[in-house]
Amino acid sequence: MNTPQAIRIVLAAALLAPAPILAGTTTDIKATGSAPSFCNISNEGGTISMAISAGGDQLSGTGSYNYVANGDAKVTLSPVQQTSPKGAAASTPSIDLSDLVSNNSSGASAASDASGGVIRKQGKIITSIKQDNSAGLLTAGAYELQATATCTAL
Amino acid sequence: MMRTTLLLALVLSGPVHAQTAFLEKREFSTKSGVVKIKLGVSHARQEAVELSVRLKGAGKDAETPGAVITEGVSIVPSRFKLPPNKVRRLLISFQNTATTRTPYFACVIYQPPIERMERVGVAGGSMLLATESCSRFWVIP
Repeated sequence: MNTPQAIRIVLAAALLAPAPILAGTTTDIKATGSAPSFCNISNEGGTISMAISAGGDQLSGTGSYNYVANGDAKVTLSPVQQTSPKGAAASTPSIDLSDLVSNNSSGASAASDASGGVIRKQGKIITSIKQDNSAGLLTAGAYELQATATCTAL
Repeated sequence: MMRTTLLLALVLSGPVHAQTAFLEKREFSTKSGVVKIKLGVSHARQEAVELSVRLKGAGKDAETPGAVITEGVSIVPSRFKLPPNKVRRLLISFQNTATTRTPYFACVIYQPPIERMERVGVAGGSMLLATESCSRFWVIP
């Protein structure tokens, strides 16, 4: 019997052998993991500048936001803090995160509906201060709005 | 650590620069009246930014963060400058006397720098929107 023939016989015997002879070392592979839920929201442009309208009755400006969540989440917008020039006539602020949440109250926060699943959303921030006085005009000077957008992973 | 790294990669895979708070558990037990929470914080802005961490209780319902809790709360560190794409680990510990399962919120806030705009004799304005990410967790007595 030459060598190649001997090898073939050994291989054939091995293949025909009962399973315990063929079995080598085996191991079960088991991988587990869990992804923590999270969300985040960002104001992409920093401070938003607002410019006066042609009619002098409102200031407006736009920015952009990004919102990401990988599970149940919601977004709230804090009460809007407004600073106006000294002695300014009445006006009303508004902050709108488009298709998400808006608020024009200086005393109450506003909340989006709770969302489920995964979300990656970009949208506009539209902000304004509108006159709310009989003259229909904004008093000249510098105005500032401040608010906090909070996303909560539930 | 592996999970946090994978999650960070997931978060950074799109055009999102916001700060994020990671909690690996959603339920914590009170031990000797104290709760200890490990939190990971990251962001993907272009440069290092200052972030603040705070603990909040529930607001009008169990899904809404309420007032910031400071009494009996230790957050180490609570305010820090963090380079982009790094995870800062911190420890929140606080007293819990509630006798029922209670929601809390671990929050990280980014306050953009204020840009002063001088205007004389004309109306003009600016709007500053701070952003905050919170993760809700429950404490079991």
